[in-house]
Amino acid sequence: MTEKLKTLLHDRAETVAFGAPDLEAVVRAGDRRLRRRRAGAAAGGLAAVAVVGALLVTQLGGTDPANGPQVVHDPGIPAHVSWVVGSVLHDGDRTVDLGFEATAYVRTTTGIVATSPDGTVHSVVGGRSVDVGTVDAENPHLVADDEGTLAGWVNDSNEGPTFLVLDQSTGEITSNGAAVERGMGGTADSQNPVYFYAIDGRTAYWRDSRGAVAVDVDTDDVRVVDAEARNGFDIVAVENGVIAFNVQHDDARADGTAIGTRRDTAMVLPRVYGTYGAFSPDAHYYSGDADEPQVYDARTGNRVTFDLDYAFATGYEWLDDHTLAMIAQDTPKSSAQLVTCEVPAGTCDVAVDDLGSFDDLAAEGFALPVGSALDD
Amino acid sequence: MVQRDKAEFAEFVAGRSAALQRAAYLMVGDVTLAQDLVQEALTKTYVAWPRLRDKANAEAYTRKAITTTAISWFRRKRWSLERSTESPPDQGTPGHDDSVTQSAWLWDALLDLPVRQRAAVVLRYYEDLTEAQTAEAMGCAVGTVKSQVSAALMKLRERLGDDPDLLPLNDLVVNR
Repeated sequence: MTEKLKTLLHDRAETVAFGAPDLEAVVRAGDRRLRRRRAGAAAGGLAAVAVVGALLVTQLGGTDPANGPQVVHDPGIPAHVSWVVGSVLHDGDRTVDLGFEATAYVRTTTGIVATSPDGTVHSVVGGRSVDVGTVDAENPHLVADDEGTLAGWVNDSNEGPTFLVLDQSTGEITSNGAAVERGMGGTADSQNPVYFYAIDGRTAYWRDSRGAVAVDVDTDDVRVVDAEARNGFDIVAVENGVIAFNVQHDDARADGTAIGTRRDTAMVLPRVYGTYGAFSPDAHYYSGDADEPQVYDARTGNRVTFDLDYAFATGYEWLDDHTLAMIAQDTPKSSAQLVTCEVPAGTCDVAVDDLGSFDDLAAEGFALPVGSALDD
Repeated sequence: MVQRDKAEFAEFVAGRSAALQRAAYLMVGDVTLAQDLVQEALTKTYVAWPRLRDKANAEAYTRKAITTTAISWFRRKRWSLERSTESPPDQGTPGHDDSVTQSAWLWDALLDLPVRQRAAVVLRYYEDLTEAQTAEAMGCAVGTVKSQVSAALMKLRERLGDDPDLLPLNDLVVNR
Protein backbone atom coordinates (compact mmCIF):
# COMPACT_ATOMS: atom_id res chain seq x y z
CA MET A 1 0.00 0.00 0.00
CA THR A 2 2.89 2.33 0.61
CA GLU A 3 4.80 1.20 -2.45
CA LYS A 4 3.61 4.03 -4.65
CA LEU A 5 4.58 6.72 -2.15
CA LYS A 6 7.95 5.06 -1.73
CA THR A 7 8.41 4.76 -5.47
CA LEU A 8 7.56 8.40 -6.01
CA LEU A 9 10.02 9.48 -3.33
CA HIS A 10 12.77 7.33 -4.81
CA ASP A 11 12.04 8.51 -8.33
CA ARG A 12 12.18 12.13 -7.25
CA ALA A 13 15.44 11.65 -5.37
CA GLU A 14 17.02 9.82 -8.30
CA THR A 15 16.27 12.64 -10.74
CA VAL A 16 18.75 14.97 -9.08
CA ALA A 17 22.50 14.82 -9.58
CA PHE A 18 24.59 15.92 -6.63
CA GLY A 19 28.22 16.90 -6.56
CA ALA A 20 30.49 15.21 -4.08
CA PRO A 21 30.68 17.00 -0.74
CA ASP A 22 33.72 19.23 -0.33
CA LEU A 23 35.64 16.96 2.02
CA GLU A 24 38.44 19.47 2.55
CA ALA A 25 35.91 22.13 3.56
CA VAL A 26 34.27 19.67 5.97
CA VAL A 27 37.60 18.87 7.58
CA ARG A 28 38.57 22.56 7.78
CA ALA A 29 35.24 23.50 9.38
CA GLY A 30 35.43 20.54 11.75
CA ASP A 31 38.98 21.41 12.77
CA ARG A 32 37.90 25.01 13.40
CA ARG A 33 35.19 23.80 15.76
CA LEU A 34 37.63 21.58 17.56
CA ARG A 35 40.02 24.52 17.92
CA ARG A 36 37.18 26.60 19.34
CA ARG A 37 36.51 23.95 21.94
CA ARG A 38 40.16 23.84 22.92
CA ALA A 39 40.34 27.63 22.98
CA GLY A 40 37.22 27.72 25.13
CA ALA A 41 38.83 25.37 27.61
CA ALA A 42 42.01 27.45 27.54
CA ALA A 43 40.07 30.68 28.15
CA GLY A 44 38.38 29.15 31.17
CA GLY A 45 41.78 28.29 32.56
CA LEU A 46 43.24 31.69 31.86
CA ALA A 47 40.55 33.36 33.93
CA ALA A 48 42.15 31.94 37.04
CA VAL A 49 45.65 33.15 36.20
CA ALA A 50 46.78 36.25 38.05
CA VAL A 51 48.33 38.78 35.67
CA VAL A 52 50.65 41.46 37.01
CA GLY A 53 49.35 44.89 36.03
CA ALA A 54 46.02 43.55 34.90
CA LEU A 55 42.76 45.32 35.55
CA LEU A 56 39.62 43.50 36.50
CA VAL A 57 36.70 44.25 34.26
CA THR A 58 33.27 44.37 35.79
CA GLN A 59 30.39 42.15 34.85
CA LEU A 60 27.27 44.31 34.79
CA GLY A 61 24.66 41.79 33.79
CA GLY A 62 23.96 38.55 32.03
CA THR A 63 23.86 34.91 32.78
CA ASP A 64 27.43 34.07 33.66
CA PRO A 65 28.94 36.67 35.98
CA ALA A 66 31.95 34.57 36.89
CA ASN A 67 33.45 34.56 33.44
CA GLY A 68 33.59 38.25 32.56
CA PRO A 69 33.77 39.23 28.91
CA GLN A 70 34.66 35.81 27.64
CA VAL A 71 33.28 35.68 24.14
CA VAL A 72 33.88 32.04 23.42
CA HIS A 73 30.76 30.31 22.21
CA ASP A 74 29.85 26.69 21.94
CA PRO A 75 30.87 24.97 18.71
CA GLY A 76 28.10 24.97 16.19
CA ILE A 77 26.09 27.63 17.96
CA PRO A 78 26.15 31.05 16.30
CA ALA A 79 28.12 33.68 18.18
CA HIS A 80 26.24 36.54 19.70
CA VAL A 81 26.16 39.97 18.19
CA SER A 82 28.52 42.23 20.05
CA TRP A 83 28.93 45.98 20.37
CA VAL A 84 30.40 48.61 22.66
CA VAL A 85 28.89 51.85 23.89
CA GLY A 86 31.40 53.92 25.81
CA SER A 87 33.16 51.50 28.12
CA VAL A 88 30.39 48.91 28.17
CA LEU A 89 30.80 45.79 26.07
CA HIS A 90 27.58 44.05 25.10
CA ASP A 91 28.05 40.41 24.16
CA GLY A 92 24.75 38.68 23.63
CA ASP A 93 22.84 39.08 26.88
CA ARG A 94 25.96 39.93 28.88
CA THR A 95 27.22 43.43 29.57
CA VAL A 96 30.67 44.18 30.89
CA ASP A 97 32.31 47.45 31.92
CA LEU A 98 35.76 47.26 30.37
CA GLY A 99 37.09 50.10 32.50
CA PHE A 100 38.09 52.12 29.45
CA GLU A 101 36.25 53.60 26.49
CA ALA A 102 36.77 51.27 23.55
CA THR A 103 37.38 53.17 20.33
CA ALA A 104 37.83 49.98 18.28
CA TYR A 105 37.88 46.27 19.01
CA VAL A 106 38.11 42.79 17.53
CA ARG A 107 37.09 39.38 18.78
CA THR A 108 39.05 36.15 18.94
CA THR A 109 37.92 32.77 20.24
CA THR A 110 39.57 33.67 23.53
CA GLY A 111 38.53 37.25 24.27
CA ILE A 112 38.65 40.72 22.78
CA VAL A 113 41.40 43.15 21.88
CA ALA A 114 40.42 46.80 22.10
CA THR A 115 41.89 50.27 21.88
CA SER A 116 41.22 53.17 24.22
CA PRO A 117 41.21 56.89 23.25
CA ASP A 118 44.90 57.35 24.13
CA GLY A 119 45.87 54.57 21.72
CA THR A 120 46.55 51.89 24.31
CA VAL A 121 45.83 48.37 23.10
CA HIS A 122 44.11 46.20 25.73
CA SER A 123 43.80 42.42 25.70
CA VAL A 124 40.70 41.34 27.61
CA VAL A 125 40.53 37.66 28.51
CA GLY A 126 38.60 35.90 31.24
CA GLY A 127 37.61 39.03 33.13
CA ARG A 128 41.03 40.72 33.06
CA SER A 129 42.41 43.47 30.89
CA VAL A 130 46.12 43.76 30.12
CA ASP A 131 47.90 46.58 28.22
CA VAL A 132 49.71 44.99 25.28
CA GLY A 133 50.68 47.84 22.97
CA THR A 134 49.95 51.20 21.39
CA VAL A 135 48.35 52.27 18.13
CA ASP A 136 47.88 55.61 16.42
CA ALA A 137 45.21 57.08 18.69
CA GLU A 138 43.64 59.04 15.82
CA ASN A 139 43.32 56.01 13.56
CA PRO A 140 43.07 52.88 15.68
CA HIS A 141 43.24 49.74 13.57
CA LEU A 142 43.19 46.15 14.82
CA VAL A 143 42.87 42.88 12.94
CA ALA A 144 42.00 39.35 14.09
CA ASP A 145 40.66 36.07 12.87
CA ASP A 146 37.59 35.58 15.02
CA GLU A 147 37.95 31.83 14.53
CA GLY A 148 41.46 31.84 15.95
CA THR A 149 43.38 33.25 18.88
CA LEU A 150 45.54 35.85 17.10
CA ALA A 151 45.07 39.61 16.92
CA GLY A 152 47.43 42.12 15.33
CA TRP A 153 48.15 45.80 14.92
CA VAL A 154 50.87 48.22 13.84
CA ASN A 155 52.49 49.21 17.10
CA ASP A 156 53.16 52.92 17.35
CA SER A 157 56.26 53.57 19.44
CA ASN A 158 59.22 55.90 19.57
CA GLU A 159 61.33 53.29 17.80
CA GLY A 160 59.05 53.42 14.80
CA PRO A 161 56.16 51.27 13.64
CA THR A 162 56.31 47.50 14.11
CA PHE A 163 53.84 44.73 13.33
CA LEU A 164 52.75 43.02 16.54
CA VAL A 165 50.78 39.79 16.75
CA LEU A 166 49.24 38.70 20.05
CA ASP A 167 48.19 35.11 20.70
CA GLN A 168 45.42 35.59 23.26
CA SER A 169 45.46 31.93 24.24
CA THR A 170 49.03 32.22 25.56
CA GLY A 171 49.61 35.96 25.94
CA GLU A 172 52.66 35.69 23.68
CA ILE A 173 53.41 38.70 21.47
CA THR A 174 55.61 38.48 18.38
CA SER A 175 57.13 41.52 16.72
CA ASN A 176 58.15 41.97 13.10
CA GLY A 177 59.59 45.15 11.66
CA ALA A 178 62.18 43.70 9.33
CA ALA A 179 60.87 45.37 6.19
CA VAL A 180 59.66 48.63 7.68
CA GLU A 181 61.59 51.63 6.43
CA ARG A 182 61.88 55.12 7.80
CA GLY A 183 59.32 57.57 6.47
CA MET A 184 56.63 55.03 5.66
CA GLY A 185 53.08 56.26 6.30
CA GLY A 186 50.84 54.86 9.01
CA THR A 187 47.30 55.13 7.67
CA ALA A 188 45.56 53.19 4.93
CA ASP A 189 45.40 56.14 2.56
CA SER A 190 48.92 57.46 3.11
CA GLN A 191 51.78 57.15 0.66
CA ASN A 192 53.76 53.92 1.03
CA PRO A 193 52.13 52.93 4.32
CA VAL A 194 52.89 50.34 6.94
CA TYR A 195 49.50 48.66 7.19
CA PHE A 196 48.04 45.51 8.73
CA TYR A 197 45.50 44.03 6.31
CA ALA A 198 44.26 40.91 8.06
CA ILE A 199 44.96 37.76 10.05
CA ASP A 200 43.84 34.44 8.59
CA GLY A 201 44.41 31.53 10.96
CA ARG A 202 48.13 31.69 11.76
CA THR A 203 49.02 33.89 8.78
CA ALA A 204 49.31 37.67 8.97
CA TYR A 205 48.76 39.82 5.89
CA TRP A 206 50.30 43.26 5.90
CA ARG A 207 51.94 45.88 3.72
CA ASP A 208 55.57 46.82 4.22
CA SER A 209 58.37 47.86 1.89
CA ARG A 210 57.95 44.57 -0.06
CA GLY A 211 54.31 45.26 -0.89
CA ALA A 212 51.52 43.06 0.42
CA VAL A 213 52.99 40.01 2.13
CA ALA A 214 51.69 36.94 3.92
CA VAL A 215 53.74 36.06 7.00
CA ASP A 216 53.51 32.76 8.84
CA VAL A 217 53.30 33.87 12.45
CA ASP A 218 54.92 30.69 13.75
CA THR A 219 57.83 30.41 11.30
CA ASP A 220 58.22 33.99 9.97
CA ASP A 221 58.12 32.56 6.45
CA VAL A 222 57.16 35.34 4.04
CA ARG A 223 55.28 35.17 0.76
CA VAL A 224 54.83 38.27 -1.36
CA VAL A 225 51.15 38.40 -2.27
CA ASP A 226 51.13 41.61 -4.27
CA ALA A 227 54.37 43.50 -4.87
CA GLU A 228 52.39 46.32 -6.46
CA ALA A 229 50.21 46.96 -3.40
CA ARG A 230 50.24 50.72 -2.95
CA ASN A 231 48.29 51.38 0.22
CA GLY A 232 46.05 49.98 2.92
CA PHE A 233 43.11 49.50 0.59
CA ASP A 234 44.67 46.92 -1.74
CA ILE A 235 43.60 43.94 0.36
CA VAL A 236 40.22 44.16 2.07
CA ALA A 237 39.81 40.74 3.71
CA VAL A 238 41.33 37.25 3.85
CA GLU A 239 39.80 33.94 4.92
CA ASN A 240 41.07 30.39 4.37
CA GLY A 241 43.65 31.80 1.96
CA VAL A 242 40.99 33.48 -0.18
CA ILE A 243 41.69 37.20 -0.57
CA ALA A 244 39.42 40.13 -1.41
CA PHE A 245 41.55 42.51 -3.48
CA ASN A 246 40.58 46.07 -4.23
CA VAL A 247 40.64 46.60 -8.01
CA GLN A 248 41.32 49.94 -9.61
CA HIS A 249 41.88 50.38 -13.33
CA ASP A 250 42.14 53.31 -15.66
CA ASP A 251 38.79 52.10 -16.89
CA ALA A 252 36.60 52.70 -13.82
CA ARG A 253 33.91 50.41 -15.21
CA ALA A 254 36.10 47.44 -14.34
CA ASP A 255 36.77 48.59 -10.78
CA GLY A 256 35.47 46.63 -7.85
CA THR A 257 36.57 43.79 -5.61
CA ALA A 258 38.36 40.69 -6.84
CA ILE A 259 38.06 37.39 -4.99
CA GLY A 260 40.74 34.72 -5.22
CA THR A 261 44.08 33.50 -3.98
CA ARG A 262 46.02 35.64 -6.47
CA ARG A 263 45.23 39.05 -7.86
CA ASP A 264 45.86 38.08 -11.48
CA THR A 265 43.44 35.16 -11.42
CA ALA A 266 40.84 36.53 -9.00
CA MET A 267 37.16 36.85 -9.96
CA VAL A 268 36.14 40.48 -10.20
CA LEU A 269 32.89 41.66 -8.64
CA PRO A 270 32.40 44.85 -10.66
CA ARG A 271 31.42 47.99 -8.80
CA VAL A 272 31.68 46.33 -5.39
CA TYR A 273 33.63 48.97 -3.54
CA GLY A 274 34.48 49.44 0.07
CA THR A 275 37.31 49.79 2.51
CA TYR A 276 35.86 47.10 4.73
CA GLY A 277 34.72 43.59 3.85
CA ALA A 278 34.39 40.20 5.48
CA PHE A 279 34.30 36.60 4.34
CA SER A 280 32.11 33.99 5.96
CA PRO A 281 34.27 31.59 8.05
CA ASP A 282 34.26 29.03 5.24
CA ALA A 283 35.05 31.79 2.68
CA HIS A 284 31.94 30.82 0.72
CA TYR A 285 30.39 34.29 0.96
CA TYR A 286 31.78 37.81 0.93
CA SER A 287 30.13 40.85 2.42
CA GLY A 288 31.27 44.25 1.22
CA ASP A 289 30.79 47.65 2.76
CA ALA A 290 27.95 49.71 1.30
CA ASP A 291 24.72 51.41 2.31
CA GLU A 292 22.80 48.30 1.37
CA PRO A 293 23.71 44.66 1.88
CA GLN A 294 26.31 43.60 -0.67
CA VAL A 295 26.79 39.90 -0.16
CA TYR A 296 28.13 37.63 -2.87
CA ASP A 297 28.76 33.96 -3.34
CA ALA A 298 32.55 34.05 -3.47
CA ARG A 299 32.62 30.98 -5.74
CA THR A 300 30.13 32.09 -8.39
CA GLY A 301 29.92 35.85 -8.01
CA ASN A 302 26.16 35.67 -7.63
CA ARG A 303 24.65 38.29 -5.34
CA VAL A 304 22.56 37.23 -2.36
CA THR A 305 19.31 39.15 -1.90
CA PHE A 306 17.75 39.92 1.47
CA ASP A 307 14.25 40.40 2.75
CA LEU A 308 15.02 43.81 4.27
CA ASP A 309 13.38 47.20 4.16
CA TYR A 310 15.83 49.69 5.61
CA ALA A 311 17.14 53.02 4.37
CA PHE A 312 20.58 51.82 5.39
CA ALA A 313 21.88 48.33 6.15
CA THR A 314 25.34 46.87 5.84
CA GLY A 315 26.95 43.62 6.94
CA TYR A 316 29.88 43.89 9.33
CA GLU A 317 30.58 40.47 10.88
CA TRP A 318 29.89 36.81 10.15
CA LEU A 319 28.62 34.92 13.18
CA ASP A 320 28.94 31.54 11.46
CA ASP A 321 29.14 30.18 7.92
CA HIS A 322 25.57 31.24 7.17
CA THR A 323 24.77 34.12 9.54
CA LEU A 324 25.76 37.71 8.85
CA ALA A 325 25.34 40.50 11.38
CA MET A 326 24.27 43.84 9.93
CA ILE A 327 23.73 47.30 11.30
CA ALA A 328 20.63 48.93 9.90
CA GLN A 329 18.50 52.03 10.14
CA ASP A 330 14.94 52.72 8.98
CA THR A 331 15.42 56.42 8.34
CA PRO A 332 18.42 58.72 8.70
CA LYS A 333 17.14 59.91 12.10
CA SER A 334 15.76 56.70 13.52
CA SER A 335 17.40 54.37 16.00
CA ALA A 336 19.96 51.93 14.66
CA GLN A 337 19.35 48.19 14.90
CA LEU A 338 21.56 45.11 14.75
CA VAL A 339 20.10 42.51 12.44
CA THR A 340 21.16 38.91 11.82
CA CYS A 341 20.56 37.53 8.34
CA GLU A 342 20.73 34.00 7.05
CA VAL A 343 22.75 33.42 3.89
CA PRO A 344 21.81 32.36 1.27
CA ALA A 345 18.17 32.22 2.46
CA GLY A 346 18.14 36.02 2.79
CA THR A 347 15.82 36.09 5.80
CA CYS A 348 16.62 38.40 8.68
CA ASP A 349 15.75 38.88 12.35
CA VAL A 350 16.27 41.92 14.54
CA ALA A 351 18.84 41.07 17.21
CA VAL A 352 19.06 44.46 18.92
CA ASP A 353 16.11 46.73 18.42
CA ASP A 354 16.98 50.14 19.78
CA LEU A 355 20.65 51.08 19.83
CA GLY A 356 19.95 54.81 19.57
CA SER A 357 20.50 57.24 16.72
CA PHE A 358 23.91 57.42 15.11
CA ASP A 359 24.30 60.94 16.53
CA ASP A 360 23.65 59.64 20.04
CA LEU A 361 25.95 56.67 19.50
CA ALA A 362 28.72 58.90 18.20
CA ALA A 363 28.39 61.11 21.27
CA GLU A 364 28.57 58.14 23.64
CA GLY A 365 31.27 56.29 21.73
CA PHE A 366 30.11 53.31 19.69
CA ALA A 367 32.13 50.45 18.29
CA LEU A 368 31.45 47.22 16.43
CA PRO A 369 33.94 44.32 16.27
CA VAL A 370 35.51 45.43 12.98
CA GLY A 371 38.83 46.70 14.33
CA SER A 372 38.41 50.34 13.38
CA ALA A 373 36.55 53.37 14.63
CA LEU A 374 33.21 53.62 12.84
CA ASP A 375 33.83 57.14 11.60
CA ASP A 376 36.83 55.93 9.60
CA MET B 1 41.88 13.16 14.88
CA VAL B 2 44.71 10.91 13.72
CA GLN B 3 45.45 10.49 10.04
CA ARG B 4 43.98 6.97 9.97
CA ASP B 5 40.65 8.37 11.22
CA LYS B 6 40.63 11.01 8.51
CA ALA B 7 41.07 8.36 5.87
CA GLU B 8 38.23 6.37 7.42
CA PHE B 9 36.04 9.47 7.50
CA ALA B 10 36.87 10.20 3.86
CA GLU B 11 35.84 6.66 2.98
CA PHE B 12 32.56 7.13 4.83
CA VAL B 13 31.87 10.38 2.98
CA ALA B 14 32.67 8.83 -0.38
CA GLY B 15 30.49 5.82 0.27
CA ARG B 16 27.41 7.39 1.85
CA SER B 17 27.20 11.02 0.77
CA ALA B 18 25.08 10.40 -2.32
CA ALA B 19 22.38 8.60 -0.30
CA LEU B 20 22.51 11.23 2.42
CA GLN B 21 22.18 14.04 -0.12
CA ARG B 22 19.15 12.41 -1.71
CA ALA B 23 17.39 12.13 1.66
CA ALA B 24 18.34 15.70 2.52
CA TYR B 25 16.95 16.85 -0.82
CA LEU B 26 13.61 15.21 -0.09
CA MET B 27 13.53 16.98 3.27
CA VAL B 28 14.30 20.49 2.02
CA GLY B 29 13.25 20.37 -1.64
CA ASP B 30 16.22 22.31 -2.92
CA VAL B 31 19.49 20.92 -4.27
CA THR B 32 21.75 23.69 -2.98
CA LEU B 33 20.18 23.66 0.46
CA ALA B 34 20.45 19.89 0.56
CA GLN B 35 24.13 20.06 -0.24
CA ASP B 36 24.67 22.74 2.43
CA LEU B 37 22.72 20.62 4.87
CA VAL B 38 24.80 17.51 4.21
CA GLN B 39 28.01 19.55 4.37
CA GLU B 40 26.97 20.84 7.81
CA ALA B 41 25.91 17.38 8.98
CA LEU B 42 29.19 15.87 7.81
CA THR B 43 31.08 18.56 9.70
CA LYS B 44 29.24 17.60 12.88
CA THR B 45 29.98 13.95 12.13
CA TYR B 46 33.66 14.71 11.60
CA VAL B 47 33.84 16.44 14.99
CA ALA B 48 32.10 13.48 16.63
CA TRP B 49 34.00 10.85 14.64
CA PRO B 50 36.23 9.55 17.49
CA ARG B 51 33.09 8.76 19.50
CA LEU B 52 31.49 6.76 16.67
CA ARG B 53 32.46 3.14 16.83
CA ASP B 54 31.41 1.91 13.40
CA LYS B 55 30.00 3.11 10.12
CA ALA B 56 26.46 2.17 11.02
CA ASN B 57 26.70 4.54 13.95
CA ALA B 58 28.22 7.18 11.70
CA GLU B 59 25.40 7.01 9.20
CA ALA B 60 22.76 7.15 11.90
CA TYR B 61 24.57 10.09 13.48
CA THR B 62 24.78 11.95 10.17
CA ARG B 63 21.14 11.21 9.36
CA LYS B 64 20.14 12.60 12.75
CA ALA B 65 22.31 15.67 12.15
CA ILE B 66 20.66 16.20 8.77
CA THR B 67 17.17 15.87 10.22
CA THR B 68 17.63 18.03 13.30
CA THR B 69 19.63 20.63 11.37
CA ALA B 70 16.96 20.84 8.68
CA ILE B 71 14.27 21.32 11.31
CA SER B 72 16.41 23.94 13.05
CA TRP B 73 17.18 25.79 9.80
CA PHE B 74 13.57 25.92 8.77
CA ARG B 75 12.54 27.21 12.18
CA ARG B 76 15.26 29.83 12.26
CA LYS B 77 14.98 30.94 8.69
CA ARG B 78 11.25 30.63 8.27
CA TRP B 79 11.99 29.39 4.80
CA SER B 80 9.08 29.48 2.47
CA LEU B 81 9.88 27.88 -0.83
CA GLU B 82 8.02 29.31 -3.77
CA ARG B 83 5.52 26.76 -4.94
CA SER B 84 2.66 26.50 -7.31
CA THR B 85 -0.70 27.69 -6.01
CA GLU B 86 -2.64 25.92 -8.70
CA SER B 87 -5.53 23.66 -7.77
CA PRO B 88 -4.87 20.00 -7.05
CA PRO B 89 -5.32 17.57 -9.94
CA ASP B 90 -8.77 16.49 -10.93
CA GLN B 91 -9.37 13.61 -8.55
CA GLY B 92 -12.55 12.56 -10.33
CA THR B 93 -10.92 11.48 -13.53
CA PRO B 94 -11.20 7.69 -13.70
CA GLY B 95 -8.11 5.91 -14.80
CA HIS B 96 -5.91 8.89 -14.29
CA ASP B 97 -2.55 7.22 -14.50
CA ASP B 98 -0.22 9.98 -15.48
CA SER B 99 2.48 9.06 -13.05
CA VAL B 100 4.61 12.05 -13.94
CA THR B 101 1.82 14.46 -13.08
CA GLN B 102 1.00 12.49 -9.97
CA SER B 103 4.62 12.63 -8.90
CA ALA B 104 4.72 16.38 -9.42
CA TRP B 105 1.62 16.97 -7.36
CA LEU B 106 2.83 14.72 -4.59
CA TRP B 107 6.10 16.58 -4.58
CA ASP B 108 4.35 19.94 -4.29
CA ALA B 109 2.14 18.60 -1.52
CA LEU B 110 5.16 17.21 0.35
CA LEU B 111 6.92 20.56 0.21
CA ASP B 112 3.86 22.23 1.68
CA LEU B 113 4.08 20.06 4.78
CA PRO B 114 5.66 21.47 7.95
CA VAL B 115 9.29 20.42 8.08
CA ARG B 116 8.88 17.92 10.95
CA GLN B 117 6.06 16.13 9.15
CA ARG B 118 8.04 16.08 5.93
CA ALA B 119 11.10 14.71 7.70
CA ALA B 120 9.00 11.98 9.31
CA VAL B 121 7.57 10.95 5.93
CA VAL B 122 11.00 10.88 4.29
CA LEU B 123 12.53 8.84 7.10
CA ARG B 124 9.63 6.36 7.24
CA TYR B 125 8.85 5.91 3.54
CA TYR B 126 12.09 6.78 1.78
CA GLU B 127 14.71 5.67 4.27
CA ASP B 128 12.46 2.78 5.38
CA LEU B 129 13.24 3.37 9.02
CA THR B 130 11.13 1.91 11.76
CA GLU B 131 9.17 4.25 13.97
CA ALA B 132 11.78 3.82 16.68
CA GLN B 133 14.62 4.59 14.27
CA THR B 134 12.72 7.60 12.95
CA ALA B 135 12.21 8.84 16.50
CA GLU B 136 15.92 8.48 17.12
CA ALA B 137 16.77 10.42 13.97
CA MET B 138 14.31 13.18 14.80
CA GLY B 139 15.24 13.32 18.46
CA CYS B 140 11.68 12.78 19.61
CA ALA B 141 9.37 10.11 21.06
CA VAL B 142 7.91 7.28 18.98
CA GLY B 143 4.43 8.65 19.69
CA THR B 144 5.47 11.96 18.16
CA VAL B 145 6.64 10.18 15.02
CA LYS B 146 3.27 8.43 14.74
CA SER B 147 1.34 11.65 15.13
CA GLN B 148 3.63 13.52 12.71
CA VAL B 149 3.29 10.82 10.05
CA SER B 150 -0.46 10.59 10.57
CA ALA B 151 -0.90 14.35 10.30
CA ALA B 152 1.28 14.41 7.18
CA LEU B 153 -0.69 11.67 5.46
CA MET B 154 -3.97 13.36 6.37
CA LYS B 155 -2.80 16.56 4.71
CA LEU B 156 -1.50 14.75 1.65
CA ARG B 157 -4.79 12.92 1.37
CA GLU B 158 -6.70 16.19 1.58
CA ARG B 159 -4.64 17.47 -1.33
CA LEU B 160 -4.40 14.32 -3.42
CA GLY B 161 -7.54 12.35 -2.63
CA ASP B 162 -8.17 8.89 -1.24
CA ASP B 163 -6.07 6.92 -3.65
CA PRO B 164 -5.11 3.88 -1.57
CA ASP B 165 -2.40 3.02 -4.04
CA LEU B 166 -0.79 6.38 -3.57
CA LEU B 167 -0.86 6.89 0.17
CA PRO B 168 -0.78 4.38 3.02
CA LEU B 169 -3.93 4.06 5.08
CA ASN B 170 -2.63 2.12 8.02
CA ASP B 171 -0.43 4.92 9.32
CA LEU B 172 -3.36 7.31 9.40
CA VAL B 173 -4.45 5.92 12.75
CA VAL B 174 -2.31 6.70 15.73
CA ASN B 175 -2.39 4.06 18.43
CA ARG B 176 -0.99 5.48 21.63
